[in-house]
Amino acid sequence: MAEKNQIPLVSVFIMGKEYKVPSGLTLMKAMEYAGYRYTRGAGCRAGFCGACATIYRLKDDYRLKSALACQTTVDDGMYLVQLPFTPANKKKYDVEKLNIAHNVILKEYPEIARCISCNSCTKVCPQELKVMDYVQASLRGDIEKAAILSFDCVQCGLCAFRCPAEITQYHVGQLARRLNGKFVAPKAMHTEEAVAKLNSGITKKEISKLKVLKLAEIKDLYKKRVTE
Amino acid sequence: MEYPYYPGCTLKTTGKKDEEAALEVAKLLGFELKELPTWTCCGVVYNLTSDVMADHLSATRTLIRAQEMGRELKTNKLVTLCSMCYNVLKQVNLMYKNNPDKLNNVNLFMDTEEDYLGNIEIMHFLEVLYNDIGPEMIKAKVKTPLTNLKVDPYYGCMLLRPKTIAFDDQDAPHVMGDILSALGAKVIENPMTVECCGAHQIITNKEAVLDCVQRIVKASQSRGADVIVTPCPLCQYNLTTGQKSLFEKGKINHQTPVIYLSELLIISLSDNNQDYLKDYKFIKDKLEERGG
Repeated sequence: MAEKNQIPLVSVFIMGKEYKVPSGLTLMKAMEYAGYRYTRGAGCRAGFCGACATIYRLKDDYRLKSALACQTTVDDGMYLVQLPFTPANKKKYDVEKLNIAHNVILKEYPEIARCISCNSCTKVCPQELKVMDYVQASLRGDIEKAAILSFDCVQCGLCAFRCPAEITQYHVGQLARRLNGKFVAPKAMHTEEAVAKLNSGITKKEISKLKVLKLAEIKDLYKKRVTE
Repeated sequence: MEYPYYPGCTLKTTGKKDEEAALEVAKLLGFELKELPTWTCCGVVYNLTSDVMADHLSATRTLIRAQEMGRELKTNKLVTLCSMCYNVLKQVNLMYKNNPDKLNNVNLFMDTEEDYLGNIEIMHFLEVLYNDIGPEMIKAKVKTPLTNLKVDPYYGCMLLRPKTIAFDDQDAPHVMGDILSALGAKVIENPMTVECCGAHQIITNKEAVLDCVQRIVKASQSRGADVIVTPCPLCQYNLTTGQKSLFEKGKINHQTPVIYLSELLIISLSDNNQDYLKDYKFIKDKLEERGG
């Protein structure tokens, strides 16, 4: 009976060495199952931080595939390696001193003019973003489009590894989003209003009331709280 | 009639005025330029290396976008406003038409796109005006004849060279002159009309551009042109900024305005030309001279 309930094992090749791991594990869990211990490159384990960029190939398929190790499950015959860091020059700029002239991104990252539209960046993006399109939008000063298209970027850096023009796309997209937030998108008035409200001291009265309550009274209040 | 339209980067930045005017002109003449939903840079220059695929990918992707939109609009045409984009797209397209093996290779390489079938026809806006609309039709729609205005149609090189992509006589082009005549303008003949403006040398060798601009502008001025008309954003830029430098250096004694053909068309064809006449007061003055 015990054997029957066992999860079937699949073969994965981590940096060329074969390991048998239970199917259904994420690439990250599979690496840990195989004995690897993460000191860097584990990140949030929830698909948000981009620290666990991984490239792999499947048997008999020429395509190089990509994934976030924490978000993708193992396939039988997978050859993989994790690339936890991308060496990339990041420009230092003060967004307050920039503007939205059509060549503002081009000035910070002139290498975007080297784009040959090969689309390798789009193909490799584990977030399935239209990376080439946002680089092209940046090239022609369409900051809003570049910001919207790159919005879900987790900065894993795989695009920069694949680019034959040596562009660091994820930094370009980040600049576009900063410029968009600063100069293009409408101001988030509700945030300003909320901050002003807090500064005016509307919470003071309630907090000073809480401060003098006994523990049992606080517990009681907590139980009776109204939630959304 | 709706045409798939490829703007190119310049038309969205330094050449914005040309795009605004051209889209309006199209409406006035009864057709529409529909921008491709996504597009990339054209590639800037056509790479003459005989065996290079990578440098043609940009243009190829645009040809595929045109093929997709063309199915919807039931046309195989793709219109450009920029002469440089026209040149690159048309040369790449022609290269595929003449080399089916290269077309096959690029289709195999671009494995996430639909195959390009090689059937797109690249047209410059000027070509649409001349071949699909025609000077007669344009003449019939003139609201403000450009009488008294001496115009110098300047072609530059990207529309006419190499011969394989030229849509007009390479040495004595007449298409733009015919359209300007239809607007009632007096067209002058400048022997420098097909000379290069210096093109991208502006980035690395400004002096070379100034040499070109000086020869073109002097020939134009000695023939009494009030305005130089061009369909190309790069020519417009080089001739305008080049004249400014030449004037400051004392090499020319006045600067001739350089405007887009599309802008002159608006002035002549639209009831709503006041903004343009405000920007180009010399044209307004010339047109008023006519009244005496």
